[in-house]
Amino acid sequence: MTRVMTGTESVAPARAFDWRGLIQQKYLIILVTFLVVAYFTAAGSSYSIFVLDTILLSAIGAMALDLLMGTGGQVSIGNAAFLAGGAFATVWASRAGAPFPFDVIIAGIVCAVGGLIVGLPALRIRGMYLALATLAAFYLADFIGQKYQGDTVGAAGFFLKPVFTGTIGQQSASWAWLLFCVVAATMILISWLRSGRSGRAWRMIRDHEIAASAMGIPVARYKLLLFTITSAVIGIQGGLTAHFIGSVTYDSFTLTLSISVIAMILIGGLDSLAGPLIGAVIVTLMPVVLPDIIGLFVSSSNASQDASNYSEVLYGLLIMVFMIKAPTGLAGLFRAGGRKVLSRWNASRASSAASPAAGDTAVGSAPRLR
Amino acid sequence: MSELTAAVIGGLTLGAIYSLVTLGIVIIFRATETFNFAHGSFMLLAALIVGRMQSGSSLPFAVLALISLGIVGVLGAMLFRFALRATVGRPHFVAVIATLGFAAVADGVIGLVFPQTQYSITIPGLSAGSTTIFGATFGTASLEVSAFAVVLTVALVLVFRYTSLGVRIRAAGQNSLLASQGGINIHWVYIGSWALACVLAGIAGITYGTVNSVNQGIEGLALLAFPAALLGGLDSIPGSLIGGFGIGLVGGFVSAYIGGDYVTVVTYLVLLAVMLFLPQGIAGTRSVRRV
Amino acid sequence: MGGTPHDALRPSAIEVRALSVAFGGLRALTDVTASVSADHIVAVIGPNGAGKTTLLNAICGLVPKAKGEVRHYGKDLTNAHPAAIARTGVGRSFQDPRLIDSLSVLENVLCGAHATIGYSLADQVFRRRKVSKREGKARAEATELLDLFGLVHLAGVEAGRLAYGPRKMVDIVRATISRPSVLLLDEPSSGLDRAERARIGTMMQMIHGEFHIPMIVVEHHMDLVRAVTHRVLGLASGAVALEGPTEYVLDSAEFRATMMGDASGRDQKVATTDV
Repeated sequence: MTRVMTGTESVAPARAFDWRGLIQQKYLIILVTFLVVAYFTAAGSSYSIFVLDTILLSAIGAMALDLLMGTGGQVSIGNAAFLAGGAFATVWASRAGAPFPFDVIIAGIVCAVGGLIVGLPALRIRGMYLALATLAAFYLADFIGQKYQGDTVGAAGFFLKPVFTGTIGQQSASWAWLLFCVVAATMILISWLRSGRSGRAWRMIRDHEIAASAMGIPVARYKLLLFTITSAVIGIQGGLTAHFIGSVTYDSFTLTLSISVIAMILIGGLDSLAGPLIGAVIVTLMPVVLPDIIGLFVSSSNASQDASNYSEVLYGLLIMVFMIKAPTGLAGLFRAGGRKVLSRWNASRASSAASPAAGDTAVGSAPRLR
Repeated sequence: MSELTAAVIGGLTLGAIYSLVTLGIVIIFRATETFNFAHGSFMLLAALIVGRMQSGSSLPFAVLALISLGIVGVLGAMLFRFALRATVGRPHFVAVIATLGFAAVADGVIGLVFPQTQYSITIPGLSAGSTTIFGATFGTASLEVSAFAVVLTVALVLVFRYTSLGVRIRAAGQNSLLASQGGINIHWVYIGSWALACVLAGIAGITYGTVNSVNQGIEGLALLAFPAALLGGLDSIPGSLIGGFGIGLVGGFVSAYIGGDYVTVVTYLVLLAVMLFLPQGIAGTRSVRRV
Repeated sequence: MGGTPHDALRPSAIEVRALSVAFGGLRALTDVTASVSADHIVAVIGPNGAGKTTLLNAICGLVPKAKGEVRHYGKDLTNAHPAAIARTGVGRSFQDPRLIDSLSVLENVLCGAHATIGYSLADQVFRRRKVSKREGKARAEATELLDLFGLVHLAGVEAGRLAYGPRKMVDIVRATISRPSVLLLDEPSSGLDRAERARIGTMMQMIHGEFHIPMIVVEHHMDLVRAVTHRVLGLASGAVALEGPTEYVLDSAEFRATMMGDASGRDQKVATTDV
């Protein structure tokens, strides 16, 4: 990797046209999402809208998990705990009389408190040990859910009244627009948080925790805030999912579910705005798309029966590949590719100006955080 | 009284199996400072291979076991060699997430290759029937199997402690640079450790699967072995016995006096307590870096 | 440099009294007493393992259970929380510059302004206009500071792509942006060639001249110590071995006796690593 030296050599000041300055990245993503939702609700089958809804739901939690793990560096494999917590808290609030969406909001608050509690061990434990501690949180949530469900309604689980009216297709479409709003709001909120002072603080805690406190960053407070906020968002996803599916059983929240969300943020790219969405799309579509692809190669397959198994194999592999080789994920790879294109364009534009050694001085290369 | 016996002996019986699994986890940790979240997958895989082959062929159990353990050992070595070795300089959670990914892969493959049917494993020579001790009844086979697990674990602990091979392996884990300059081939130690640990996992899976049935529950065992490893001390080989039996007893008591569904939660609360208050475990030596 | 009678009355920027630090059985610092005036750049020198970095760590609160006293303009900081100490104005750079590799140089510098930038997390959600005003102001200040040190052309570069020399300089800029009331620099010139060392020296002089920030600098390169610092504190085996004005100390016989082996060796290394 070419290193940038200082001082003596002059760097061509001609900056490339940085289109990213014109429109902030998050609004671009929201616009694209809007168009996708508009297209599918207008022209897609009700199944495809359903799949879109699942993607949008996953994206909410994935963005939160990326803030926790990608920006904040806190390893958590227990995120299914908060999905479960959100779902069960929503059920509980709903049964206590709270209407939609207040039951979901209450669930978010409950999960915020839960996240605060889970964050406390994180003050003293890090890395793979923290991963184990979050696993403990998962088992605790699983247990509580199991007990609550068993004591109230039994194995059949909880049922929630539908939120929207109309045919299945119309309901799915209504969900799509509701979820679009939630995804957009989450994305805006998270982009505000991951940039600026708090974003820098969390990244400093992630990369150099000791130096962070020597800089005046109150590490404990920021860690707890991070757990609280991300758990609340994941809990809200859980609550919305409960209403979307219409039923809640404790055994739908598994370690595999946690791993699939980790796959999303790794494939999409850690500490990025678009990454969780990209990952959510890919991982959610896997069981939908894989059986057909495999059917092309293996004639005998009951591939759709084994769709979830094939998906697990694939995203498991992708987790390994991305974690080991490319933790910046697809978003990072796109950025790097874009940088190469941009710098080659610059180099050719600036070929007249004297620019000897620093050929690879990246112009506008830093991800602009807004 | 029979409840107490059930708790203690039941706990010890299971604890024996835990010790075997925990030993594998400790071996991996000492060699490469990683948790292997895929450990359960190796256990289950070994049991499934034996179970499936046993119902399909007439080869003697010993041969099937050897084949199965060989596959699992090689798989573990390959996981390390081709995936985890690349994570060496990086923060530890990188390798851990990678093993998590591998666990997902293994889970998926297992689901594809060994569909829903439950298999059972028969080890020739195991007694049938049950034994009653102090009023509590146990399957004789499970007692024998546990005794075997204990003997094996203790034997390995002794080997590590007192043979020159064992000493060299421990040295390699402790300070690889120095050890390699002392003539120990580090790469083979790492690969060997992973292979051995996965073979132990396989043995645990097979023996457990003999007495109980072969299903996802076996992976649950491995997940309970992490608390056992931390309790005994992540870097302590003899500690795996302490931790394994300790968690086994905890589970036994919880199961007998409170209820079976509380076992996992309580075990993981023990894990939390250990991590917060006794991070080096009972027998662990160095200050386990949590930083 | 000071010298008026009034200086004796002004509280020291940093005063350390009977400071002792032990790690397990290892005594890293033994009964160290020293003070740094608000006008000075003080070098801390000594052989490896003498406790120099430990002294810096003890001052900024990264060493738990230090015995003795650490005062900052009279305020007692002993064993206080590092973040609190930083907020009273104690700034620090590290021997290995700990930058956020995925962020730009400008963002890294802004990280140093955490305590002074003037908005909170809640503001980031509810008061966007205030945030963008303060961010803008901070960015302008950071850019100006980078420009002052001749680094502004790197402002947009990802920190992970910088060479070692620029990394060290950015670390120092980051520590300076919040206008600390005392700056601790840990081997700012280690690993740099002669030209870069000179630049670090210039940076230090500018920080002292323009911003009047006193500094405590752990250093091995005597040419830099001689050129930039006013006083020298020499540590050996965790205790104070010598102390005094730079020229005097470096030319003294005691210095040659206690520090000779390492110091002159380093001077020679300095001469040969002319990259």
